[in-house]
Amino acid sequence: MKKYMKIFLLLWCLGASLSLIAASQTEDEISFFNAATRAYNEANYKLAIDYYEKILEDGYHSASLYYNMGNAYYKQNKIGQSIYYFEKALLLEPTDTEVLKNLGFAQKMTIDAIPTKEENGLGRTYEQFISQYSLHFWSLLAIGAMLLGVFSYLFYYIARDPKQKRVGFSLSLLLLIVSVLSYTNGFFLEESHSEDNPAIIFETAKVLSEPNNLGIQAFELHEGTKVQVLESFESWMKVEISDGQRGWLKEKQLKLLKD
Amino acid sequence: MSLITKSYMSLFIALASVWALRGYTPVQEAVSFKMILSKSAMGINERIRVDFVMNKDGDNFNPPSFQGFRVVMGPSQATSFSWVNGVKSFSKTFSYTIAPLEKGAFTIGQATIDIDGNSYKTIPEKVTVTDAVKKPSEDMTAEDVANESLHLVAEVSNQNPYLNEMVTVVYKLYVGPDISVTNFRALDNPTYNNFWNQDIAVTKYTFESGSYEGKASQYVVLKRVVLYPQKSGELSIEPLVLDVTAEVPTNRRDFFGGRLFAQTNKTVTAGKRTIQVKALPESGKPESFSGAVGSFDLFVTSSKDILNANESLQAIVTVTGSGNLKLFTLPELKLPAALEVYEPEFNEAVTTNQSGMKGKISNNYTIIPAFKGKYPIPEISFSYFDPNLEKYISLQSKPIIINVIEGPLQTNEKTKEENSEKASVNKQALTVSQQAFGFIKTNTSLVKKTQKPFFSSLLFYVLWLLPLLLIPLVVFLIKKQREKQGDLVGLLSKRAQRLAAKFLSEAKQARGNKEDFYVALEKGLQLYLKGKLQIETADFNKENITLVFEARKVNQDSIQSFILLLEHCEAARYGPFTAVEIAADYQDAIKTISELDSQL
Repeated sequence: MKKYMKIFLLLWCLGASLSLIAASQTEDEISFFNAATRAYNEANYKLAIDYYEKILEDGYHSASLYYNMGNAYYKQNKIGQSIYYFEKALLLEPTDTEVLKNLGFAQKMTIDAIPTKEENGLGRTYEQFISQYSLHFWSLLAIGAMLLGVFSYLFYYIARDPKQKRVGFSLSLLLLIVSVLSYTNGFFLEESHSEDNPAIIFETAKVLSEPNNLGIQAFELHEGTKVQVLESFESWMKVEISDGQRGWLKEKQLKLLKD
Repeated sequence: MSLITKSYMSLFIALASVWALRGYTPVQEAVSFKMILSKSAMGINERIRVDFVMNKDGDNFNPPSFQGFRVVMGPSQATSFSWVNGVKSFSKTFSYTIAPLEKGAFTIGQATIDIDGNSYKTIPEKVTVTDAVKKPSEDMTAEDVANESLHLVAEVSNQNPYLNEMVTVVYKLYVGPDISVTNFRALDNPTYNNFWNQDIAVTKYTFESGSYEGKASQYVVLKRVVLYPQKSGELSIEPLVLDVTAEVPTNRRDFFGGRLFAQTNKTVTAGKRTIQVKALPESGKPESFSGAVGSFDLFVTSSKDILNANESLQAIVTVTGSGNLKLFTLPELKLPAALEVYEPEFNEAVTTNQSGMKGKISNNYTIIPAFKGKYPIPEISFSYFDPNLEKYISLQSKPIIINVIEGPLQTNEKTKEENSEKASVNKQALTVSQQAFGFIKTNTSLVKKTQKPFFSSLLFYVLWLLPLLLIPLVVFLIKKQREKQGDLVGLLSKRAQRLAAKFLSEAKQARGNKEDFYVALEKGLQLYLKGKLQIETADFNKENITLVFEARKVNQDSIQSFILLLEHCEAARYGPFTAVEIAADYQDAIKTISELDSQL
């Protein structure tokens, strides 16, 4: 009996560690990364970026990688690129404080200051709450709570003392609810992530009312501003800025964060 | 007029002398009476002389009506006699000078005269009056001379400029060689509608030699104007009108033979000029074009590039060069929203001379950064049209980075709130780590880009839901193991309860009474054995039971406790048994029966 449990736990842990580390990274990529760190420290930002690009070309990425690229571009005063990579890092690690801080530095270089449209209501509060933590956090919480919940249920099942039984049962119920809620949070968070299609403006762009050159200029956006892409038509994209204004601009004037 | 009288006077003197020498000739000739016109075609500004000539003196001369003409002078008479080789000739002439009243074809009618009692008539003649012609020099008055030798000319440097391309207009007064200008006064100053204009003051009037219509002539520059057309199409420059006082030489001479001069006033005007202004080409017009035409340079400078927060710096956008500097707007500086920027101060240092506007204009922005960080002054573009090259030229400034090294940090409002919260708790904590731009991360765990987020991976679902399977699995395993090991405690308790309910219910009820209890207990035990082993009540003694049990390989402990129970039952009838002992025996009975039951 105990033997089975041990085997089960061992297998489970193996799976979990596989998922967390999943580090199929090769020696090459790590050496590139370290070389880039050295280059950055010697203020050779272009070289550092070349190394990072190589890693990306090989098909690997990480939040740290994007964060470092954002830093290197910031040091070269390339606002658009810098903000683009910080935002990419945040897509993977939405709560990384270092990324948020350096993104704040980069955002100060932008020309546009667009007020954020205030959205109130329960839905908004919930969204804010769930986006405080990353998807990874929610998934780990779901798994952890589920595991503990199951153990407390088994404890309830085995225990003879009614007091112990009561504690075990309520604990298991609580943990199972937490697990299901975490999963739901994660689900909605992923939903909201997959719904929006953010992009960063790379050059000064006139935002027009129509997807052609005859359109009346609605407003102008400058490098580094984050927009949401709503739809696209030929070489034009319809974007929305954070205060809710919408318009069309040329595809080449922005770069999508999700590819 | 004086000329004519003069010549007649000399003629008269000559005739008189001839008459005195030759005297009268009696030879008769045929009478002739003719009209002679000095010319038959004339300009309206001209005059003609009409002579009526006869070769015999007559009476009652009757001139024609000269319709369409005005008699300027006349009639004047001239008579002449001459003897040539004994032949006497006579002629008498009536002269009129007439000027036409209007243009057209006119007929000068017949004149009549009576000679020797006969009436003679002249033949009518036609005269054509045409447009004014240049006056024959012999008729020139001082005004005419002034007219001919004073000319005001507006010289336009470019008849066909681009919009906003500079045009200069120079007003020159040409003065003929033999008259002199003593004074002039502008009657009407030109207006320059649809032009930006600036007068270049002429401080000294000096005569320079030049030529007017091929004739050598002196000129003086009266006025210089620089114009920048502000509208395309045909634009007109209203004329300049001057009143000039000039001295004109006359034919008269003074006692010493020097010419006498007549003074005259003359109004001269430079004709109305039109300029055809070309619009700037639409093709290739850059977006940043704001109307500058000429040749320019763009500079963007900042007074500092490293400073502390709340210090001020100046960013200056300058355009230098030549062209319509005062007529276009400078490109605007677009600065990060995080900077505090004041309205720019406009400066211009532009001089306008004959070659146009030259100099520089600048916008001076005062900037005060409030927070630490790097701020770009982005590049700005400025474009102008070069009329010489006939194309647009775009200039772009270089971006400047301002580095604010000391000062409070504010990334966005969220962190500000966080900071203030933290600050109230622990001020030390955020001094260093929060203020600087973070260094890169030195470690990473790279993953395949294609790897889906863990949340939506299969592994997540497996890890999440697998523990649920653990519940039925463990329950099943526990059950199985219990059955295998024959869980004593569990199984016995269940069986014991069943047996007790069957055989010991009477004893249980009688627990209060010692004797009843033991009787019931003994009876229950007997019933059990009877049911289980088919032992008759007659054979119910200790030895017998032991034998039967041993035959069935019941273990010794169980046999012992069963025997002990039976002994208790017997002993209890005679001896004192407490309630505690009764309870213990009851429990023992349940235990023993269930032990036996599992072995039988």
